[in-house]
Amino acid sequence: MAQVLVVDDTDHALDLLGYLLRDRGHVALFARNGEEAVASALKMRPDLILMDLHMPLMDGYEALAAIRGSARNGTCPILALTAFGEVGERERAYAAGFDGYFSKPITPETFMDQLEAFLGGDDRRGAP
Amino acid sequence: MSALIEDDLGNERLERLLAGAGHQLRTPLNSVLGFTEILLMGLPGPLNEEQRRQLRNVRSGARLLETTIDNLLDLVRIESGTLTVRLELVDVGSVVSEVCSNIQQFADEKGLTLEVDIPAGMTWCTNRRALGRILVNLTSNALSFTDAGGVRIDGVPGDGVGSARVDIVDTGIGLPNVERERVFEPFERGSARGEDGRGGAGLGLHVSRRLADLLGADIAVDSVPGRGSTFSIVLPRRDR
Repeated sequence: MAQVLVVDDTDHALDLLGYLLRDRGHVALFARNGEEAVASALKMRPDLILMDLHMPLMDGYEALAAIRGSARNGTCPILALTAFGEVGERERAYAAGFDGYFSKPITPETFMDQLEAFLGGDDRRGAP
Repeated sequence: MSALIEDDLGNERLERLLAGAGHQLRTPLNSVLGFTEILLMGLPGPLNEEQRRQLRNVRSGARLLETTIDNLLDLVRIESGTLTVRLELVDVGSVVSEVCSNIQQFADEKGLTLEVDIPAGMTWCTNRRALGRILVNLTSNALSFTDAGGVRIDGVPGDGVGSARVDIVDTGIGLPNVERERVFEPFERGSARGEDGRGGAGLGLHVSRRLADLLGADIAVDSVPGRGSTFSIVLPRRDR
């Protein structure tokens, strides 16, 4: 079981990803913009962060930089998930330091398998 | 000079507009596809066979819409000259496996096999995104027009004589000679691919060929009606 922070400014996306994460036995935490994401990442120290790129207040790139820059949660995998699909966005995301890049719409089952590959096996699952 | 700068600004604005439009179209589609899939997986509860059949129809309609949105946006980018394809060293196998992971479900639903044989370490000087879009279109087209058997994606490294290419080989209905060019026209499909409700009569092949042009590559077609077709992405010989 892992703790996954989902950052997205649309209710449907949070609902969808929360449902899928809980179905796989994980705990879903939610944030609606980059500022909330940074606060939650530092306080809750999730095992993985799923980050929308374009959000109000603080976008995914700024939030990534803030989380990476902190000692409290500097190494947690952070995956970009976006519906934006601007040409070159994928390259920009990897260059900024995201560990993975996924575009919406997602195919739930495939997506969850890919996401869990980032959780790196049993060491976290067995944790109390 | 100032015209050049204005043009660049215009392109930048157009790209933002297209990316924004894509965002507004894909966000609701993510809800439609995502929740349909959750229902089909039976997560909220069991479904009867008729409910499953109807939800599969919703899903395939939404997928077709997704492909059309992506292709339409790319076509506008190509027509307006705003699509830039920067050449880079691309691991062909990784692009193919990414494409397959997105399209495997479509093959499974039709009871078709989807096999890949790309030699390890096969790299092309091309554009990752454009190559991915071409592969998605050619592979989903092959699956759409195949009812039994399956689709194979083969990588053929260039050997100094022949060009490097990726073949998308299907065991589908095939294309008569006279229609091999026509299927690359927007919203056209071969007559045998007629009105039987198959998805895909749209922009996929057209956009693929336009993207290939930008990459300096070619798309070749070989086909035996009734036996199947092979669409090949042929890379120009490396002369850099």
